[in-house]
Amino acid sequence: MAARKYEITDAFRYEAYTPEGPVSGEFSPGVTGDDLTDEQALYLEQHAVPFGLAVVVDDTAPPAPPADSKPAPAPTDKQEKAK
Amino acid sequence: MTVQKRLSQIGFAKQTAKGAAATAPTYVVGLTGGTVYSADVTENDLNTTWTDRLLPGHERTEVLPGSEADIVCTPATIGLLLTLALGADAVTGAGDPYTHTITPSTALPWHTVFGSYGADKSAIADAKIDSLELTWEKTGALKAKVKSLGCTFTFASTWTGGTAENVIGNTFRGQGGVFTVAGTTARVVSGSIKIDNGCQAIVAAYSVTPDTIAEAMVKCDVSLTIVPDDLLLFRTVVTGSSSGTTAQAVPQYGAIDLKFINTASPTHDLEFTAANTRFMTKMPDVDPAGGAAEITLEGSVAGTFSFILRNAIASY
Repeated sequence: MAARKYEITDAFRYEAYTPEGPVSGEFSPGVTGDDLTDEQALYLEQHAVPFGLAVVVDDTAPPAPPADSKPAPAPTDKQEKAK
Repeated sequence: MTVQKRLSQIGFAKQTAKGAAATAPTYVVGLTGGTVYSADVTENDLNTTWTDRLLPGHERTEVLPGSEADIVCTPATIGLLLTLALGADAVTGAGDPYTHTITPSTALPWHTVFGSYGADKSAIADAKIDSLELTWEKTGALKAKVKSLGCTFTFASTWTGGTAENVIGNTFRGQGGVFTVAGTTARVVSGSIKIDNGCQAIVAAYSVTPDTIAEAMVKCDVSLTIVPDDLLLFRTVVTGSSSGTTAQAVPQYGAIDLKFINTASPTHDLEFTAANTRFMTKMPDVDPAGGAAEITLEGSVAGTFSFILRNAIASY
């Protein structure tokens, strides 16, 4: 299962039946992803994301800079020439 | 003394596993028709040539326990039945109303069906829901036909208990609800939503009763009888748009949203949504007698769908 991140808006409990037996658990509000088991991630993909119980967070975008950060300085002439 | 047909109830309980029959129903309801328990017996002539012209006997090859009950959808029971028919339930909320998002899972839970008819009682264990069809007419109560196939039939069961759900103040109706097709409110007068799990009873060589029940692909079909103001829905189905002029080469898909409300307890409702439904319809026939044209929209759901049920039940 690809590592995706999900934002849970409202806490929910779940139970779903699979050929291997029932799976169940609980999700709390917040962003989750790295800590998910394959089973949990599959559950979110099949039963939560399509129905708005979880939202896929775009983890391919670069992280946003802190609010008080300054933009990177423009390259100097020397740096430009070195290229 | 005759058998009183009115004295009949049916109950359902989810099992923890196959082989772990429930001992009592979780919910018990009355019926509007159908059967609380049955056993479809298959027997064949067992015949050979012989020195006479007489049939020597028969063989029994299958006994398939099951039930096919017509009921009124009540808030607690319909949640259990939908969970049994689809397999996944996510619950939000810390108190009444709880919101159940019930969706198709990769397998179905096992359940036990409890039936009573007159003085007789039975239990059918290791069952799965083969089909569940919800129907409604105008603002009448939402009804269901639920068909279970099971493995183990117990006559003369002594089951008792279960929360009895009567219908007064306990039904879902279209009154005040939502009936949208492709995002637009449609004048739906009646309809049905059918979940078909294609269950097959697997009868092994060592037992006439099923060894297991195997579900197949889940199919969800919607049928809506609509009295339209125009024929744009038909035009859209054929051309792909309400302004289209030529037939398109692909099926026409759209969303369906149907919501029924327990008018005696308005925070309790049941909503069916399917974002990707293939629409099919025919031009209505003309009639020299006149009258408003009706069209029947047949929807076949592609991909997933959900029932969102709000009721007082915390979990199933």
